[in-house]
Amino acid sequence: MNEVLLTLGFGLVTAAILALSAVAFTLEYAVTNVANLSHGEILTIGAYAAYVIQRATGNILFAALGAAVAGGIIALVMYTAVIDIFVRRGIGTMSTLIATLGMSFVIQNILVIMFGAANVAYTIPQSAPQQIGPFLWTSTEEEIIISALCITAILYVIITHTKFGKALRAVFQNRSLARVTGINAQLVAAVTWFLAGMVAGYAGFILAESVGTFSPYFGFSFFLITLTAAVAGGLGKPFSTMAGALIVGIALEFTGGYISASYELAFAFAILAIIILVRPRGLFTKAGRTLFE
Amino acid sequence: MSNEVVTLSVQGLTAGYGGPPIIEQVSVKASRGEITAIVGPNGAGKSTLLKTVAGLIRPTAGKVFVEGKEVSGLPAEKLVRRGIAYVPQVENVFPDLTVRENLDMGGYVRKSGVRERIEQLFLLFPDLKAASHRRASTLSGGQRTMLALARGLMVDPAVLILDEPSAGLSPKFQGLIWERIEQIRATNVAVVIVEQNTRETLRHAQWAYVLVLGKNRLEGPGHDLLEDDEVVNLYVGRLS
Amino acid sequence: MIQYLVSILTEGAIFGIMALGLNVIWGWSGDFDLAYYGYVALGAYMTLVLTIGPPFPPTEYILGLQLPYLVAVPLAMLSSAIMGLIVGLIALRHLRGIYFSIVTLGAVYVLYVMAGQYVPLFNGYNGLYGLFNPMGAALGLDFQSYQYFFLGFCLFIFILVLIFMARVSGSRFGLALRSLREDERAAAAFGRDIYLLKLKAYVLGAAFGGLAGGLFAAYLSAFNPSAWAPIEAIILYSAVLVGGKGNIKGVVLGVVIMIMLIQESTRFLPEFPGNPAVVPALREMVVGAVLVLFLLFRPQGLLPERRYVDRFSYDNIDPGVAVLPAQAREASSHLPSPAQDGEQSSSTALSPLSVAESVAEAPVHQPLAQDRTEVPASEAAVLIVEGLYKHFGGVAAVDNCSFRVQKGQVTGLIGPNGAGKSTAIDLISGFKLQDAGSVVFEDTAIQGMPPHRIARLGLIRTFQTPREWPGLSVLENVLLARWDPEREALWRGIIGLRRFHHLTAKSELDRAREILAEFGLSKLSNERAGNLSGGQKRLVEFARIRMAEPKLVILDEPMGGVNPVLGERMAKAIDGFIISGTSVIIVEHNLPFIERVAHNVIVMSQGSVVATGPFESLRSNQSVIDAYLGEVPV
Repeated sequence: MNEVLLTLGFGLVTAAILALSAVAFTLEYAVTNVANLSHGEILTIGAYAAYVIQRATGNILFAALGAAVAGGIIALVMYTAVIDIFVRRGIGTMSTLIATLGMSFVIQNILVIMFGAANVAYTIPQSAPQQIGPFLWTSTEEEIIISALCITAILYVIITHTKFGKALRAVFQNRSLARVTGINAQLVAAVTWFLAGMVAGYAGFILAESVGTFSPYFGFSFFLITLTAAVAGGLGKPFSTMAGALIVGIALEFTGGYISASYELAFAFAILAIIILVRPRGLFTKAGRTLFE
Repeated sequence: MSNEVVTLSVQGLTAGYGGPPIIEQVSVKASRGEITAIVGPNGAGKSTLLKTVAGLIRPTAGKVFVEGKEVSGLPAEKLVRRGIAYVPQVENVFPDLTVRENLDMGGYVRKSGVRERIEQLFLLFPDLKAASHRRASTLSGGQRTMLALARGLMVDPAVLILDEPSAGLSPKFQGLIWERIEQIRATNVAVVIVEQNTRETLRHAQWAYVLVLGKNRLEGPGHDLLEDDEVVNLYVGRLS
Repeated sequence: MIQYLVSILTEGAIFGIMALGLNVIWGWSGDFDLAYYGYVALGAYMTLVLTIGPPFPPTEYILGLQLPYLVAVPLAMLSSAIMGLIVGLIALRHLRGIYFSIVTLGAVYVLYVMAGQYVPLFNGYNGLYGLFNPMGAALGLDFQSYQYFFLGFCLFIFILVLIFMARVSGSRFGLALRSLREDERAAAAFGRDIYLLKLKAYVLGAAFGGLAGGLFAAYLSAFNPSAWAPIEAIILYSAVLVGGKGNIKGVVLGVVIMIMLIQESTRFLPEFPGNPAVVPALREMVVGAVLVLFLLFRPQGLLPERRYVDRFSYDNIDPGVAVLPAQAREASSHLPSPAQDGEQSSSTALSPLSVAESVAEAPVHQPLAQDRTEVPASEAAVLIVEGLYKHFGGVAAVDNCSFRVQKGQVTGLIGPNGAGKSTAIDLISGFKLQDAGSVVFEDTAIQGMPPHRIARLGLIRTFQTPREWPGLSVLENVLLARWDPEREALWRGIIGLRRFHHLTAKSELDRAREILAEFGLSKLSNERAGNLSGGQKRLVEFARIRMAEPKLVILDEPMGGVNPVLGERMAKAIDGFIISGTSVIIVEHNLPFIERVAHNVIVMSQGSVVATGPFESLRSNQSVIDAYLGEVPV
């Protein structure tokens, strides 16, 4: 039982990082109806920004903030320079999807040019693991979980209790109807992407902390797991996405004992495939019965 | 055209979806307290005209005035504050929100008086009051149209633009919708309406414009047009 | 220099085969398949393990045979086809769009990880090597001349593949496949088995991926995960996109451009000391940027897909119903360019027939009952619905619904919104699965059957919005109305005779032209169907029905979005259906239209039938008035 709780504890750390990454992705989807395949790159940039700032100032708080700001900025650039243009021209979602793949390539390679392709070590002094209830966490891991909870709470308040959150939900349900109600859909989308980018940038920072190394490609591999969590929760729905992330994060941690790390991603994909086949609209929505329903 | 003050004035509007223009040099006028109809055969550009006036499509030429002030080229979200409310033909409610939440959303740009306005509209649409806690996706087609109309009225518009509100509705509901539209007209709103059911529309319209192939063709009081055999043969049809 | 050219051309030929295979799945079937490069990789791996002989430890891999190259490659193709079959069986059943792409991405990722990590399979990260100059020894070639030989060999295979694809493209199989991409529901409504067709296309594409992989393995003489980098896949997809999805020449052009772009774009840049990754990174960036720009400005690619062009002169056709040649001719022939992707919001485009629409036909007297085609009373029922029941959530949309439809008549189905009419039609035609009840069509129980099987039995339906196949021409739309199992078989597409017979029999083509003339659509026969106005699209749908000659057609609000001026023409078309032996069920809110065409009317309310009878009798039926008619205007 102790084993199980211990693993659960580690799973929660993974789930925390995953939840932030996934909710950012799903918010991006909610306001533009586009699955941003270069989402992982936001995390990568967050990690690099944190690394650079940490090396320059030695201050971890600045590094975390820098990661968030960098993430927000790059997401905003992605939105205004590419996605918004596609959306405004009425170009279909599949084509925009492919375009985000192209964007991903461009960004990854810019990072390669700037920083080289090799892995970068990111070590932060942390305390020895402490016993918190039944779980065993280092100070870093505690910070990760607490900050994830705080960010989630803030997002919850914004989405459900502010006028902006209302506008966000309206744009998600019906963009043009939202516009004729007086909502500036473009502005709402841009602000949402900036927010989502901040969350994702920060997620990149804590991921790099937690794993210890990163490279220009690390965001992309984590993105595949993010996608699993987001689809499991239901694209565009922030809170069920977090639930999905919790499930996926913990599941991965538990199976990690039985399969080696290199298979982890493949396993995540297998889960994803099964979810999509059985419940394409997410674990929490009923599936239709024929292809046409 | 009646000699009252003109609430909406569209002059020489040209717009399209990127290729050749769908509407060219179209001019229409509408006044408060009147129903102005836009009719015409398929492909005439009626829907495009409405969407352009509503700010969803950017015109390439022409001017639009609301109560004397120019609003040409403004996007939809800004036009709402200038007194233009648009009710699209399809997907005209927020499906996952309740009736009340939909109306609430309709009042997004209002600085105050949202609740009072909702109560006012419930008087006009008693069916909606009864269903105020139901999600919009569970409403019948006719009820949804009513909700869409009410949503548009939340901003106390000067101009209410309706895109085929009775599309797909049973004759009974069509009658109800027209009743409401007349009531809305009576509250001193300028109603601009495009309808496939041309005969009924011309019966109610104080003034009607006939668009063909994206350009103005005819105009006149609705009743007069309805009595003109040629108009009926060309644009109304016997089977309607 | 020559060496360089030879290797570029060889690569080009191999990539060309890959791209042509991908085009079958992405361009024609319309599915963005991210697993495709996996089939190439599998083909390469399998070719190697079948030709390089048993493994020397510490290398490990399966099989390890030493078959001749020309035997190994077809076997490798087969293995790719089998993997394609497995992935396709799973992914194509219910998934489309982004979900399909994600699942295929998952599949290829799993294969990638297995190949790279599970050493006993293909020697893990180190991969396989040792396929030197296959067939070279037998032909006694030295290293130099082998390069030329292999180039010639690859080009030869490439040209064979090109011819193959051209035949498939122009075949009825190819056309049917593309109709799936354009509108699946309509394709199913006209008898196409969507799942099977897409599966065939998928396996075909995968097989060619395997073929390319086999050639690739010989070209590289090795294969391992690093040859499987995402950039290779992106280049492949970009080639198809840039050149033009769906157009074979376009795809080849795309390959040429991408290869030149990759090789030449960074030619003049110096090496960056300290960061050897810069130049390849720049190359990849160029690819990514090109992809984005093309999607933005030219998503259909450089050479858009072509439609079958019929150069027939219609002057000699004697239309059965009055056409308006004068007005049709006087309208301008200038038509808007095709919408981007076909995915932009549809708007009614200006077209010659809009003018014809607005001009009245011969003066029409008031619609009276006697305008309808006289129909002898018939006892036979073409459709019997019994106790049909379907609920969504807690609400019964169709609730114990029963009715009979007489053969040879037009039966109207009216009722308020939410009465369950459309759901009932979906249930009858197989597009929704009923919870209970039976549907008997001409003595066959059809409840539970998938829509394409019901269509093949002779029951066709239309939808509330016009569902033409927008990317195909009007003529192609009409030709496809008849399900032709013989001609639509894949093997027929490859081996059939001249293109003419390949696509359709001459008699069928003649019939299509006749029907187009009858509906006044001859001027538009080569026009892209998606460019037509709403009313014209409805006419195309009617033309399709005429062509298909079903036993029963169900029209779901055909007057929706159609100007009432076209009413009489539509009514005459429905008369024409009856005369040619097709029974009609029509759902409509336009009551004068129902009065004009229907012999019998069924009224539904709240999921079940509340009244039936001739229209006149219903007008005075109080419950019908209360539920539906309200005050009918004079």
